[in-house]
Amino acid sequence: MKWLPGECRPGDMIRVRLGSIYHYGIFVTEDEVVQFGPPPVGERAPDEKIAVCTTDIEGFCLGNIVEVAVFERRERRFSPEETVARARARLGEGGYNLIHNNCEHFAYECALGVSRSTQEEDARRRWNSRPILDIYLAAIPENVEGTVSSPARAAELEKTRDPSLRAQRLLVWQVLEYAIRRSLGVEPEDAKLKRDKFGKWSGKGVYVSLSHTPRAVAAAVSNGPVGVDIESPRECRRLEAVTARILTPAEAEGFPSGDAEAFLEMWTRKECVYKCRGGKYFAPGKIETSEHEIKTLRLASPSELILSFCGDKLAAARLFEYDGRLARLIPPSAQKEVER
Amino acid sequence: MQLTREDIIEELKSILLAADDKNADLVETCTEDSVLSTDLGLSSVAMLYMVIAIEETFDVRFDDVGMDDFKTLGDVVTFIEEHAA
Repeated sequence: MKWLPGECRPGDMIRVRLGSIYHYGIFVTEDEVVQFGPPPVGERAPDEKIAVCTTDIEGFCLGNIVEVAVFERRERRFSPEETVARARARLGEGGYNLIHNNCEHFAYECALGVSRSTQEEDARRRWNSRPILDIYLAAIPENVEGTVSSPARAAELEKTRDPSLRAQRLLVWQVLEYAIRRSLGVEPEDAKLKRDKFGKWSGKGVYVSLSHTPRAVAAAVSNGPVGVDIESPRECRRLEAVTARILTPAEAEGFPSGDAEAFLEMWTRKECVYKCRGGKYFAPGKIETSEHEIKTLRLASPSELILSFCGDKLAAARLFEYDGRLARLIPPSAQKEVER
Repeated sequence: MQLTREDIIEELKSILLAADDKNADLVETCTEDSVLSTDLGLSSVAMLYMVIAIEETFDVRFDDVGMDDFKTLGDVVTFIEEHAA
């Protein structure tokens, strides 16, 4: 079936574009178009007042171009006479519902005997395939308890002797499992996360990235490649001494040498690019940050942090603060973007 | 796990932001008392998309209710609280 502008004949399923949505009806004559409710323009009537009614073609299209459904021979549809009879038989009927019983459902039911709304289906498809890039941040509490569902990760945690590092690794994975469940609607076990030969974790259609400091952890989940890195400015110790080694010649020009925070910002930018791409070695001096779209933020909570992230779905990025039970959206006003 | 009203409102905020990044300002200010038609001011297409996003996220169906049955965001929270699996 396709939609073409053209002359209407009795029994045709027709539609008209009004703003960004379509209004549907069944054409009988120029003076009789059967529709489920008037065209949705201006203030919409309450659902219970919307009923199947007739109007003339002008009242239906409001000066816009009318498109006619053209069916292929193999498509089963009611004859024009039957379609008209089915539409007229429902005059006065109510039960309107924006999602599940609207003017499009009505027209399809009259012409094809199938109640459907392609606009609803499109919106559902669009939602379920929307770009996702969510970053969850959490402060490290005094005691990190609990387990993880991934046997591979559990085995790694077993081998981590340092208590502080173990707490970071345990918490970041717990946050990741929460993130996968909440943002991607997938059970962590079903995401089947594994490390690639260079140590980067990913699953089927599930992209993740992890970062931790002694004070906070960050877990990023996305439906495209993603990289995240956090650093705590408080942990910064004379890192500026190695600044020259991580910068490309272009970056070194005009770089505020001795500025530890500028160094950390640059470091997180490079590290998130490396984590996003993966690979054998992290060679910061070979990553030209200006060639990548990266977001760098300063955050005051869950602890003072410099955060950088990048990924295919960067425009969709959302930040959350997780307290072990609930993740709250970090409002854009609390995100201070760093521009260098 | 039983969802609390706070869980639901946080998820609704994140849906608003995912539905359209122009909603960033709304996310900052919306509360359970926000009136859908005036405070949120969503167009009919945005409303359709939001309702579908809520159905998909919370596994509920708005088939026996209309959006007119909800005046405030808090009313939507109550519906989800009562119907979410």
